[in-house]
Amino acid sequence: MNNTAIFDADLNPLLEIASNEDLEILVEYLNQKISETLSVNDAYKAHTPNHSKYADLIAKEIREMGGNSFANAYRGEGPSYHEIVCDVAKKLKAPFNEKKSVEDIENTILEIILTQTLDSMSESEREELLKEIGGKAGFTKGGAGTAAFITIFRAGGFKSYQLTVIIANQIAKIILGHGLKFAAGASLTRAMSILTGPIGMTITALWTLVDLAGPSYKVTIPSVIHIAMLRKKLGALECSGCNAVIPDTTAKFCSECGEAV
Amino acid sequence: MAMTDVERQKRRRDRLKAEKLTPLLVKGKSGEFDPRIRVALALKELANQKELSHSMIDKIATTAMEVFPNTTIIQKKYIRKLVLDYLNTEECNA
Repeated sequence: MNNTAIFDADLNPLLEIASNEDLEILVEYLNQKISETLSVNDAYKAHTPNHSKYADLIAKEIREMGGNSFANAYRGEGPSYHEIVCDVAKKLKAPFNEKKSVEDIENTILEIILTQTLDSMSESEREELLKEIGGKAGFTKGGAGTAAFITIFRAGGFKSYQLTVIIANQIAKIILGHGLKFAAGASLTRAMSILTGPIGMTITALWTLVDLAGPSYKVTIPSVIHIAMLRKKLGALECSGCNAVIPDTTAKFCSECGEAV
Repeated sequence: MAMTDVERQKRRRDRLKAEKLTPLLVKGKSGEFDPRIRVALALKELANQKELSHSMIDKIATTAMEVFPNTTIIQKKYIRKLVLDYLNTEECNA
């Protein structure tokens, strides 16, 4: 892909291996801003909706959305993706260490959204959610309940991926009016319906914090969350038998069909 | 003295720019080409002439994923895509 020479090691490889379906949501987030320059690009006009043909331009546009226009002009490009993720983490008041990898900071962002969502859920809702994502009911009261979910999230694996898809899907629904196409799988649908209300409230509360001035947080926050979900999805193993996503990279067999990975 | 945030950001940007702009040395001091470049161009030539079967191209791409150790699955998939794009004869002939 040679639409632009601008490259970010934390972002370009991920977007360039993503499918059109994966990139569709990002393009929609970007197209919401009047100041976007993606839709006027020749490669976009020639290939849309084949988004993977200009994934490098999408990466460039996301980075430019994360910076001040004058600073971008001075630098010749937007800030690094690492810097954008740090900005989003700061905005959402997620505790993070700048020296950590992008993936770690993205996880911190997801954790803070998950924590706020769980705090707004009733005990019965938490129990139901825990049951839906395959956990055993028990630690669902107060702080211990939230800690139990965070532990599940940090442990990685399919449950952690499930929670990430639920968050990204809900944000897409709120902002774009529709969710992720691939997220309609049977195992995710029930858990999603339980989280719909609480995540909606959390995101609405977050939106009131977002300033209209400065970096375009209205684009960067949902984009960073969607990219975090893509990193989990594309960084996972894939079963050659049933195409199931296997986030545990040490797994020897598919948890869905039992075929060797 | 500790660096300010602005200085730290500038240093990081300079480092990233330097990484991005590091040229690949394809010629030695006496002007000879790096043999690895010859191998890559020879493969490309063979792919253009349709001398490489799809399974062979696939094997080259899969091997390229594993040439350098300790890369993540995303990097491996990216390398595979780059190699497949490079040896994609249809795209080259178009």
